[in-house]
Amino acid sequence: MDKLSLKGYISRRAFDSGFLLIITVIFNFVLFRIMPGNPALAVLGRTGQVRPEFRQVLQERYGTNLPIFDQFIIYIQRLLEGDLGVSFYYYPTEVSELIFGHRLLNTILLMGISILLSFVLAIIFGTIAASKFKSKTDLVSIFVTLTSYSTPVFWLGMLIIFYFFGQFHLIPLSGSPRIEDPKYADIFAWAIDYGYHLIGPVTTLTISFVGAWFLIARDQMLGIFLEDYITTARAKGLKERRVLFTHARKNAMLPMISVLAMAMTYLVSGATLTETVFSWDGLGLLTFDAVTYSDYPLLQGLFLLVAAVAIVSSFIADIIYAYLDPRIRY
Amino acid sequence: MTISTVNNGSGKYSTPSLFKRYKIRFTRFWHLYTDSPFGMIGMFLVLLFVTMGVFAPILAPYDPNKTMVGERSDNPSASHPLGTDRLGRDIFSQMIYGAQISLLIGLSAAFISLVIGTLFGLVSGYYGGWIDIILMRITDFFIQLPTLPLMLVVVSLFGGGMENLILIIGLLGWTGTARIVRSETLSIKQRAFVEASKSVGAGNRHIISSHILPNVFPLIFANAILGVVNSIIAEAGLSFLGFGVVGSWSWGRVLYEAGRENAILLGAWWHFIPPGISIMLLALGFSLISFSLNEVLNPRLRER
Repeated sequence: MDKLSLKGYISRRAFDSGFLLIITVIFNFVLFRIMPGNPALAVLGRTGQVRPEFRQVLQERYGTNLPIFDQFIIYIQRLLEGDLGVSFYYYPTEVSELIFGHRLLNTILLMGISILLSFVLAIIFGTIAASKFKSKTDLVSIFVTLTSYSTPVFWLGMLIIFYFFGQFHLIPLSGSPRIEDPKYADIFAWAIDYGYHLIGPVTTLTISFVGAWFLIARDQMLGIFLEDYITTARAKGLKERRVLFTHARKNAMLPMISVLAMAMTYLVSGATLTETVFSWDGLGLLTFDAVTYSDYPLLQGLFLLVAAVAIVSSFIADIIYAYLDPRIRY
Repeated sequence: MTISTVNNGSGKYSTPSLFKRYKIRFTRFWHLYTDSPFGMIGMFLVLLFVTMGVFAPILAPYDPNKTMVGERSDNPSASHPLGTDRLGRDIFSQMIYGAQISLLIGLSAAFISLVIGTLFGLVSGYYGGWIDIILMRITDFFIQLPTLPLMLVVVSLFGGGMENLILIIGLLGWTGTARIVRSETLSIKQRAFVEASKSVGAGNRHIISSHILPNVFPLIFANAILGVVNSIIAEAGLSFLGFGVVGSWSWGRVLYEAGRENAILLGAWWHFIPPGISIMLLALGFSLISFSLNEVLNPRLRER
């Protein structure tokens, strides 16, 4: 068990991940079907939104009048065909159509830019702060990032709207421009407006992510600075910057990989609160809508997507981890 | 780590009383802690809000639910320092009562997370093998579920009472602790003193309780306080989206009401700035305490 070759490790993790994926699919089916009675119908009935055509659709597509095991078989078959069902609230739009469209793109762009920006900033700030351990720079940056960590992201968004839209008129209020909108003469006009609308939510998310990641980065760097090879590098007379950003940073990257792997999930789950505040038409806002309107097929689809991405990214992170640090005997 | 045991001749061993030992340890810790300005600021902030919560019925000028017909959507004035909402309820009083809910939910949920996370992390990291695989798969499973949307689903299915909210936030917030405790356990387990202990025939329980736990404890402790921060912020988020505790005032709910009344666009800063600052300051208080604890309890950092 102790000494696995990298290949053996990878194949075992692949097996684990596949298993986890199957569990997720089952969980996803069970959670939304077995909960209170038959929730797909019960919830609709409770909120008084049940329409006769829904019942029809449910019976046709999920076989809700059949025994639960048959329903599961139907669910798997549908899933393999890439059919995630039909949305209750946006009826008769398909769930897959709602998810894999402009919303996914909006969320990936918003989250991707914010995550990348925050990751780089967190590592740079973390390294600088750690190298000036217990100096004024260190203490001030800790205080600032702790404050941003303690600030609810949606309130930060509200403040940014209040000041930068309301007082200084620097950013648009909210929304996410669609390329189909006829008011855009060409793709560049759209891209500029899109970027303009991104400023608010990206700023909000970046401040919040840096607050969360700065201390992790700083802590890792501090640990590294105690290692002998850093002392050696310094003793050799290498420039401090070289020591910081080549010798130290590489080793500190390791735990940051798992941070990044977790962040990959945000790439598709979106940021419900930030997207809600800025009316950013992404998957986070879609999730909020799905919950508000008890749109269970939609929620189910969103969950499956996020879970699948999470499993795959954690698999990749583990492999990079094992590759970079053979000390970690799983 | 032997604690001086004295053979008193009659075959019985006596050790300094447990209380005394902890007292010495605590005094040492306390001196280090009070040296840290961050820690003191944090403690001041937390105590401030604890006082506010405990004495809310005395401090609040009005019942936060009392609607005053003639005073709807008032600007701040002498009788209503933060104005009133659209139903004529005093916002300042809502703010004062908000401290109760935030503290209650934050502390209880964090405690639940702490216990589950530590157990999972320790057992998983120490025993390894199949136990580790199973426990970590469960942890992975919870980690991968996007927290806020899952909280929303559960709240909307089971209702958003106080107990439900605490349970949901607590039961979904332990994964971070489990992972950190596990990875720390993994690295401590590889160290020489554990190997040494093993080689002289120490049992697993002994190793976990006297070698692993004391070494991961600082991390757990500082992490638990950070758990309070996360829980406070999670509650605020849920309440802001309209899924909070019905009937009682939390800062998140005040912000939810402010959002519904379009306070931002109307420029009614008194409705959304104070509750946000309160959440931030309370959470910052706990963050600062957590940070200082980390500095004091983490010998690796103290060495320098």
